[in-house]
Amino acid sequence: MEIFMKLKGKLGQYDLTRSFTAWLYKVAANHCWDTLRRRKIRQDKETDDLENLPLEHPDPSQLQQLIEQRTSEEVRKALEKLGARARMALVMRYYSDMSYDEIADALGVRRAFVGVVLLRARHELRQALEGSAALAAGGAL
Amino acid sequence: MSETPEQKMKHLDEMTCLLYIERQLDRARGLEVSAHTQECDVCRTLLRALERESRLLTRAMLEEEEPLPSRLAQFQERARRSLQWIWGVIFGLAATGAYALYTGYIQPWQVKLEEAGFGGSNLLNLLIFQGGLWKGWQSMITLLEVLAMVTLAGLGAIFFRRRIRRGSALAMVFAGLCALMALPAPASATEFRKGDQITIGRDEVIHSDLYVAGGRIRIEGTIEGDLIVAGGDIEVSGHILGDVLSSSGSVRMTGQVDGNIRGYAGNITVKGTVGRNVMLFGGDVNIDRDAKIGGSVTVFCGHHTLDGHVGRDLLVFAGQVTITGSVGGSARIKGGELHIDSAAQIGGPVNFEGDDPPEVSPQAKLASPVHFEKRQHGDDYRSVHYYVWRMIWTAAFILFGMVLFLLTPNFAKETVRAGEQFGAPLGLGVLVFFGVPIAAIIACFTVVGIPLGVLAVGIWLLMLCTAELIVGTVVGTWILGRGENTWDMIGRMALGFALVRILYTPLAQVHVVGALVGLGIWMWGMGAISIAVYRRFQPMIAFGGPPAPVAPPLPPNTTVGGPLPA
Repeated sequence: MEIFMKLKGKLGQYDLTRSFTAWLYKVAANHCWDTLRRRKIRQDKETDDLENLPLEHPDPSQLQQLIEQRTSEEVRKALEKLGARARMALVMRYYSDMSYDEIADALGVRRAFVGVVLLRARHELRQALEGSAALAAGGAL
Repeated sequence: MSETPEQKMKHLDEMTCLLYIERQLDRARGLEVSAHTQECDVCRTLLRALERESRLLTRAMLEEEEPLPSRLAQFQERARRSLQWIWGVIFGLAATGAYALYTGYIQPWQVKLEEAGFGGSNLLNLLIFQGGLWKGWQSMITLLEVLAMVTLAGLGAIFFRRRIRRGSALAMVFAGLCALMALPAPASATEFRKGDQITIGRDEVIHSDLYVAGGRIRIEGTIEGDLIVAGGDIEVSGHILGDVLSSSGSVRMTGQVDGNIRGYAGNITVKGTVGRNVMLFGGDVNIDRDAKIGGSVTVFCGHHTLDGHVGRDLLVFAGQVTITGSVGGSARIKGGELHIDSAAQIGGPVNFEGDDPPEVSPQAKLASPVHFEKRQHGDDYRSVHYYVWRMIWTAAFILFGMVLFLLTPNFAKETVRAGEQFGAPLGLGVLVFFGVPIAAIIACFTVVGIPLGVLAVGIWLLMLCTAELIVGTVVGTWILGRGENTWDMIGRMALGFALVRILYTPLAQVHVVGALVGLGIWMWGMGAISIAVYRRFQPMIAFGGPPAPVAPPLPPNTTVGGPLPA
């Protein structure tokens, strides 16, 4: 609701030459960041650490196995466990069909780093999925 | 994995793979990645895994956004609770359907085939294992050839797994296999002849089976084995000690055949002596006055004239049937019209199911009067009987679909997903629906391509049977949303298939509309299966796999992401 109120106020600032979706996300994201900052639990928005992301080659068969065994429900639960940036990146790309430029705009990162953000988000998601699987296995014992 | 660090370095990193499937690499780098993935199984698997991950993400988020309408959700819940009795009913109906299928269709055919001298074997056995083909295979293929063919097939499979995108490569593999099969082995006991005009002279004796393919074929000599012949115009006036298997435009059999004759042609005339049985498929089939057939005659054709002598039974499915000759056993005829001439003699009962009462000459010598039954065109939609049977068949199909889905859950899932696109499967379905039978017929004309043709027709028929099930599953998925596991998918298949049947039943009464809708369903389903098969063989990820947006490509030489390995 707060976001919509903010949107109403900022509608005059919208640049017609740019993507409305991206602008919408940007306003929404900025509002969320502000809220988090106020709560002093804002996650690191800077991109310095992105370049340190290891470019390892994961074991494809293990990855495939992990994906094949997961249901949509499990993925949704895992998405809830992700950090705000990672979740937003995945939602913008795989749900809202936004381009890399639009995502870069909304997240406030350089376009070249969108891929890194998405890859990191996927890694986080896999960890969350693996964690839930381990939890499920532990619970079954 | 036991790869060396050097080998590891050669693999693509995950970032490059991700950018590749998301179409974010510049063209040059994209081509490099494409080339690499054609050679590297590890990277190809990684690409596939990433693409599946993208789809899983999209699906998970879309499903969350589109919950089931409450009524449907309640229905789904109720259906889940009452699943046991629903499946009980389906199994019961399916068992009835299977029994009806056996007693109504398979058993009478089995009896007829036995009567026709085929020893109760099914058509596949007949064509491949008992007919002239099998003997030919036995003599043609030595152990060495089998090994060579298996090796070549394996190499071919590897080759077209990588190059499947090129239709010409696939054609080359098949052509290569056919060519290998067509090559006459020097030590073989089978003889092959090919050419525009082929004549086996009167004095010529072939001491083995003979395979002949050509435009105009004359067999005047003696064949001590089977004769397998395909061509435009065939005349057999010699002596065949084995069977004759023919496929051609026009056939005249004036010689002596000690075994069976089986064949299909536009025009078939039998004038000679046949020791055993005759089974013919054709436009016009004439058994001439001089013809003497020791066994039974089974004919499927447009127009059939029987002027000669048949030792045992006669079974005919034809538009017009004229009998002026003699039949030792019974005659069972289904068709439009039947004329029995004054010179005709039939030793057993005569059953005719047709449009008009038969015209029987009073001078004809029949063991009993002709039993006539008027043929009913189409189904009687007004009878309860029709709807009961429709339910039974629906249940039988659902059971068949359930077995298929349980046997190949992943493939079924991929097929249903392909079917959801509607446009592409329908387009491809038109091609497959019409193209495969034509290709199979062409393959059959090359003699050695007969097994290939039979196989293609078999696959085509299987696709035809499963097409409606796939469409049903797509409809079920539209209604209930995507399921989580195979049983969910089977439930959607059962619901969707039943709905399609219910909607199609009134439409089927309107002939043109019914036919068009029926064709549409077949083509849609067949297209979806074809796409799924194609994707299975696809060596690398197709661009735009997930419903990802098509982002404008970066300018050439733009660096994307982190540093790339060499």
